[in-house]
Amino acid sequence: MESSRDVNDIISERLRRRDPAALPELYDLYGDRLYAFVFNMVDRDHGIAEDIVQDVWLSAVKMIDRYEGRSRPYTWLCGIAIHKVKDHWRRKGRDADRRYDPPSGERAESLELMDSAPLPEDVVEREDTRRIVREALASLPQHYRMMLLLKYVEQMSAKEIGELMEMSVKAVESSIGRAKLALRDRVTGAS
Amino acid sequence: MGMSEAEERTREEALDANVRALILAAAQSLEGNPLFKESLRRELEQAVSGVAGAGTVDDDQTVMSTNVGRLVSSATVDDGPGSAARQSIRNAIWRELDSRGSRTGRMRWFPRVLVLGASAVAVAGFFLYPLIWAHTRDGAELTVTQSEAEVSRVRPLFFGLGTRVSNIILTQGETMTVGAGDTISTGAASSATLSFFDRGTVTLYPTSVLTITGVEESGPRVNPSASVHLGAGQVRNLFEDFSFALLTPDVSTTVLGTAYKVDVLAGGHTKITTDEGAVRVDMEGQSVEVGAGEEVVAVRGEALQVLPQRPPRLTIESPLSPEVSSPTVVLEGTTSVDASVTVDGRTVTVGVDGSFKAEVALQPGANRVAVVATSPIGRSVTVELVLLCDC
Repeated sequence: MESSRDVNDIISERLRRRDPAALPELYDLYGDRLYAFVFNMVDRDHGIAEDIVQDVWLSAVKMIDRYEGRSRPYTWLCGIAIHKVKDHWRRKGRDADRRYDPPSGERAESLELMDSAPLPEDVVEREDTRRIVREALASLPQHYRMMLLLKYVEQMSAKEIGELMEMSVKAVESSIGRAKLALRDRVTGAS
Repeated sequence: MGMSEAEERTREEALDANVRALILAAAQSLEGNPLFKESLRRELEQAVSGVAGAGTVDDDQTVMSTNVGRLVSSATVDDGPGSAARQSIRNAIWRELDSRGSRTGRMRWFPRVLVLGASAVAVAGFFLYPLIWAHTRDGAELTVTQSEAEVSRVRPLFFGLGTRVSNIILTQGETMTVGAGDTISTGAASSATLSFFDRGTVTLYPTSVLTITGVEESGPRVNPSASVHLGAGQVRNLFEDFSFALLTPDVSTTVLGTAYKVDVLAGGHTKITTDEGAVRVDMEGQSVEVGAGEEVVAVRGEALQVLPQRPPRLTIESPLSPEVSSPTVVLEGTTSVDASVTVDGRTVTVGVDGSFKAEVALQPGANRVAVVATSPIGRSVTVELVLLCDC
């Protein structure tokens, strides 16, 4: 990340100056990463992800005037993306009917001991492990999933997540703690 | 649990490391569609060149085509990462906390505390409003985006017994807070933006003169509002939830929607063009509503007539002769300040004054070069040049 910090500062400065040409450059830097974030938030559906991502970038063009330079450009984009993803969920009405169905198939026994020792790399990288974790993530309450992705994939600090979600750092930390336990329980099949 | 603190920390760390590894593994391995990526990149570039300004529309075009693309139709986005987004996220979180509360009985009190707290703040705010709000935020933020602008400030002196006039010159990138009584003038190649409490912006194009006649931040009992007088030039306005009135020498406009532009033309005409939402235009007792995609040219003594927006102006200034002797030629022209331009499909940068420039490579013989200008709502005009290259 260190090497891209300068680039971030430069782009941030240009966004603050309302220079729209900074956006295609931002896209070259973060287009894939933002796509992956949205994709994981919408149950890995490429069609939906594409619609939302397109919407996010076009919104960024329109809202360049509102970039204040307080957050990194990517965090700003994530803020827009979170809003669009929430819109999508609202339209689908998933908040209302989401219930946790215990994953149907077999559990990977090797995942049982998640909080006693580091899992071996070959277990983590196995295709069935990935599938189980994806299902578990998909079954989590939406804001848990969002926080886990922001923390572990986007590697944002609790402070940054707090700013995006308007929560205190403490509240973010305890939510992530609960989210981790919920994920563990779903991955290992515990109730 | 009988677990020592150290043991507990070790377990927590192990869980954290494992969750990180599992999520990273699960979230990776995605193959986005390269075609989508490519086309979005192009759309973005187009959108970016279209955002650079606002403009006028002229008559007599050579070829016209109406082209409302996917880009423009899907670009009607208004609320962003600001308060609405946060509100919706917070709502979702409260819902979740609420449902957790009903399961565990622990969190049930939490939203109520919030409501009580918010009411207390609202009541306190009601009484404190005249002391705090009325005096702290009564200005708009002016930023010079190109070249320089002059602010001439007229402020009362000695309790209104006299006035003091001061002139301040701002150069590119500088900002200042401006308020009622301030007049902003932009130079020949300058532009500036005025931002009103994150609720809206006014973009001033070259040679514009705009006086702020009133501006008020919202308080518990007051809606945010502003009024300005546009003496000359061209502005583009983008608003959301904001009461904004703009007067010109001829007409007064009131925002009912979001994005529109106003152009004070020579000869006492004013043109109002709406891209999004709607604007009410009042002149000499007449009142019309100009909706998205429509425009009106207000001329004193004549009826206000709302018409569909016309395509942008497009003039090619160079080359003026079809015969060219070198294999590359610099194509120059002007268009409306808010139009985007492509030359043979390539997007070119449009300056604040609407000018553009592009280098075109030519083959020996006859070459067709298509220049397309597209307005923010997607109306476009095409000029096709035939250049004979003697090279």
